[in-house]
Amino acid sequence: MDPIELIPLADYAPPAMPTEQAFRALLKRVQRRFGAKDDHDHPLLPSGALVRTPVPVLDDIADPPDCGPILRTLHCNLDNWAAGAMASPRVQLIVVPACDRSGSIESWARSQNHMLLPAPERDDLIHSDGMAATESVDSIGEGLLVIPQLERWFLRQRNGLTMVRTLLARLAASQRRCLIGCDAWAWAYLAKAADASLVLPRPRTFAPFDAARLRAWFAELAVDDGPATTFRLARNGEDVLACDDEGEPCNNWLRLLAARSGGIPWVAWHLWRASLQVRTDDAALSDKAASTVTDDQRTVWVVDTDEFPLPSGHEERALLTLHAILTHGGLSASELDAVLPATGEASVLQALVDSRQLCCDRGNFSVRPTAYPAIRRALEAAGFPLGVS
Amino acid sequence: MATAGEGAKKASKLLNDLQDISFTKIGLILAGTWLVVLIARTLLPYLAERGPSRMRLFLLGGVPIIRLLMLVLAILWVIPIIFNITLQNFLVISGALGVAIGFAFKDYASSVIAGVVAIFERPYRPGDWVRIGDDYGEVRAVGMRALEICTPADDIVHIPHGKLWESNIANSNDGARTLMCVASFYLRPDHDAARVRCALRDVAMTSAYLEYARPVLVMLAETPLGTHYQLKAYPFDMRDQFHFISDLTTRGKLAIAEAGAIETQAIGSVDAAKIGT
Repeated sequence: MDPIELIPLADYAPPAMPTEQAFRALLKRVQRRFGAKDDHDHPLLPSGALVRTPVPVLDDIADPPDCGPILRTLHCNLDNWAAGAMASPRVQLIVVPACDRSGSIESWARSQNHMLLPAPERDDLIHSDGMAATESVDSIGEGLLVIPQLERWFLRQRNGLTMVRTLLARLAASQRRCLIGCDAWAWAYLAKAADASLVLPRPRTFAPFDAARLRAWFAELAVDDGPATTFRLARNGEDVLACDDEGEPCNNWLRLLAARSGGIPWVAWHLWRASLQVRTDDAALSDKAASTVTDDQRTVWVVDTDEFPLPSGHEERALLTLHAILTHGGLSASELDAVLPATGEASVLQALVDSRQLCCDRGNFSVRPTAYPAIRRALEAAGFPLGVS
Repeated sequence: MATAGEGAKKASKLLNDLQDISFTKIGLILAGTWLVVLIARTLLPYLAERGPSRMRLFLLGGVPIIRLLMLVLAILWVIPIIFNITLQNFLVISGALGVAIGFAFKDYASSVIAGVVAIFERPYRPGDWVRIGDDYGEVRAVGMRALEICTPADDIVHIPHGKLWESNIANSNDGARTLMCVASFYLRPDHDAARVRCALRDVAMTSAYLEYARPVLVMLAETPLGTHYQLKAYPFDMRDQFHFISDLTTRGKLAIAEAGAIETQAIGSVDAAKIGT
């Protein structure tokens, strides 16, 4: 697929949900509110006929990394600028959508051997003025300096903004050329709390992934040395990746996925992998299903994924926790205690991990990409300030 | 001639004949009106509490409007069934009503009329936080005669709409989803005010409840009690206002101590309002 564009942050508009699906989703939420159970009705296949796709197969048909097209975009848009010693602008800010677990800006910088300014330890954010950590911003260097994760330079705590303010002040005074990456939720906060938008006035972000882009990407990923794979909707057998002459998907499933993921490629990729299922060995196909898959070399079934509810009775605390984690791009339990109001309530962290909203990697809690759409919607409904993309 | 006399006689009749009045119809109209109002009073607050936060005030505000519309509709429907409406009869009924209201139901009628005015002028709506006289709280319901507010102490206070004619009504959010919260601190005057101001500003900027789109202000003034700091900021949801103020106060005290300032002892007997704060 062709690389996408970098666009001004203000122009970012997530793909819209198709009208019919929007009504269906609303109806489903109302039914769930009144206690109705979701029915996963797959008329084509008997109940229990599908199981999760094994990881090796998934890695064949939807292989990592989840940021492949983004890396291509960065190469296409930034390589020339990074190579030109006098190229304008001197400082570029790229606002990265939430849940970028691969560290796309850092991966690109490493691949180009650019100098990276590592983020300080979070403990140092409280006790240091940041002068030492930001020295290399002032140093005269020929090459580009990359600050891949601005969200790691602050802690939303009384003394936790000093370091990022020092960094921004040095960036404003320096002559060094810099590329800065910042999470969309952190940017919304820093623009308010540290006036970051005054120092970095023209943020850009990646164009949203619409259905056509997702189709091109997933079709590209599905090509491997094995048999050709056909992705069929479990509910009606339609080929999800089938498209018309203009490359637009023939059915609405990918439009729904694009809208649900907010146009964020890695969120869409994780949801895509989570929705892929294969038939169990002993599951028989109905006549209709058999006729549908006659010409397929390999069929992978696409199902709708579940959304997990917030811990009952602790919704407010859960949302405060999720919002803090999104704002910082991940936090440890002790850091979370430092940034949340001390209300004496029990921590909901474990409940959020159990309900598959959060994942924990070496003590650092972050939002699962598959849970992000539901979490964003819940935060929006509760009135929380949201990320900028 | 007979027909004209009959017409005059008929016109002078105030009430319709008993056999012409359909009590079943009246009963159905009243029951239907009561049912619609009941559904609106139950369903809209239910949806408001469970739906998106941005829709809450809109849904709550619909209750008094629906009730007023239904009552007006019911009255306009029932009156012609009972009364023989002519200009003469209209004047008779108006006169009788005027006397009855003037003597017996003056205050009640005043409050009902003020309630109708309140629906259109909207000095308060369900969900708003208002101060009327000494009472401050969230408007829970706007009835025909009175509004019901729930105070921070969880008391329910009924205030007649008639207060609209005679007292000021302070509405803290006026239909918005947020309102300004103020955390107060009194410090001994010998301190670095610039440092304290910066520290308090960061206290608000780092609150988990902060609404990004609204300003954060730190104001100070010298008073007989010491230097009075007011930290003013907005939570993203006004229902968090007391959590927000508590959070600002808790962390503000730490920030003040860290900035080398000392809080003065709170003097409960001093009425701060009387000494110019």
